[in-house]
Amino acid sequence: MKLNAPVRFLLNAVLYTAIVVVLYLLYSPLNNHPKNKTGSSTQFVYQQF
Amino acid sequence: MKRIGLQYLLPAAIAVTVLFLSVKTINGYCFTLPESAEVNPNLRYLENFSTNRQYEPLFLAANDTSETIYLMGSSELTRTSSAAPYNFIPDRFQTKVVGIGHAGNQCFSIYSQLLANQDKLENAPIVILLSPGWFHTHFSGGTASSSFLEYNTPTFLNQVLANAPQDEFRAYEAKRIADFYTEIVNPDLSLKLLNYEYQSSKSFIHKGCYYPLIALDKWLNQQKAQMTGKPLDRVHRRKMIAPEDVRVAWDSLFHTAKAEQRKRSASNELWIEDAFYAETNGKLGEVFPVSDANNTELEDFKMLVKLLKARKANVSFVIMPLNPGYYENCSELTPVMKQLEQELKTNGLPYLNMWNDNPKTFDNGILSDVMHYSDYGWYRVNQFIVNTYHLSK
Repeated sequence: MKLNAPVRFLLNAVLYTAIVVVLYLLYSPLNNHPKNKTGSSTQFVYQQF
Repeated sequence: MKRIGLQYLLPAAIAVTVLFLSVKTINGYCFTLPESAEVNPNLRYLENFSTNRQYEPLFLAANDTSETIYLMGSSELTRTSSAAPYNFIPDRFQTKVVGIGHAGNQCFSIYSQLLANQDKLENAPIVILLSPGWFHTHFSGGTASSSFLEYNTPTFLNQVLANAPQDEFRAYEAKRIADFYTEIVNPDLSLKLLNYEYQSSKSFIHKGCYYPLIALDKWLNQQKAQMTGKPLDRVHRRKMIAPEDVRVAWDSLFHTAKAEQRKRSASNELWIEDAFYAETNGKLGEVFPVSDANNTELEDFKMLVKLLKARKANVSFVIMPLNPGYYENCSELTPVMKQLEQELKTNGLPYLNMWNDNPKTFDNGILSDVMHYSDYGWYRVNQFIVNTYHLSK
């Protein structure tokens, strides 16, 4: 299925916004995991794996 | 080109703009800043700062009504007893004692906590308990990174970055953090900055290479501070220790506590409490000294003394003993313990040396097991504190 340009633009805008928001949620300094020992805001992400 | 701009770059720009515009709403829905826990005005013992962040601003400050002596040490502080200084002294005197630490709170951990609060050090009454266990085996390698993080929170490390002058003490802090930096997974920006500070000090080429990283992380650290909220206002308060009309019958306390310790260790001649002695199955222990060149803990100790002397802290030290009946080769640690004493003597700092490697002259009953104080041992320490800080008239 070939999407026309405005639809593709819209879908990309929605997709990129979702990605940016998810990255922000994961890496925000406010996302402080209770087991965080170093104070780093990225540690939460690693603790999930 | 136009297609790429319209289908990829413009949506990406929109996404970033949407995030910037809605970041406060997202924070409001998804995150709540942790509420500051209540502060106990009659605090006597603090295990660490990482789980008690509300006490960070109060560290080294006097309490509302009188002076507070800070007692810093490691595992010996965790044995709850009415004879421990943080119970014994506040129970009898207006002056309070707050114990800070548990196993692992060694010289560099203490050094870093004090450097972070170096502006409060002048005349601050501090007693540091030196455990011989820190200066042999792997412990002589210095404070473990995991223990360091328990006491030296991002708040304290940011205080070092913001307040500590660029002198040998700050350089030592950065160097020692760089020593164990690779052990830390996802270090906080404050740890990163102190590590970069050390790396960039190696040469002007290093300085040039690290400059952009330092600038970026400083900016990120500022952003982080804005998002997570300002730390609580630090309390900077000193009071005079007024000698009180309190008489303590030391001899009677010593006699009773020693007799009690004898009763508790009826199963052996080493004065080791029965429960602990049963665990040893009658086997004796050994110390494993290291050369001075490999003894990082000794170097940390010397820097700790230098810092406290330079900042004019009202500090005193207690050199703790090991049970020489249990540790057969105890005397092999004596040269290190003599160095500790010499360092304190040279700097004119008050100390109580309880080290004795001779089982025949050792004051049996001071220890409950093989390295931690019994009530009798604590009473000896209490007497030293009361005399050193003139708590009694």
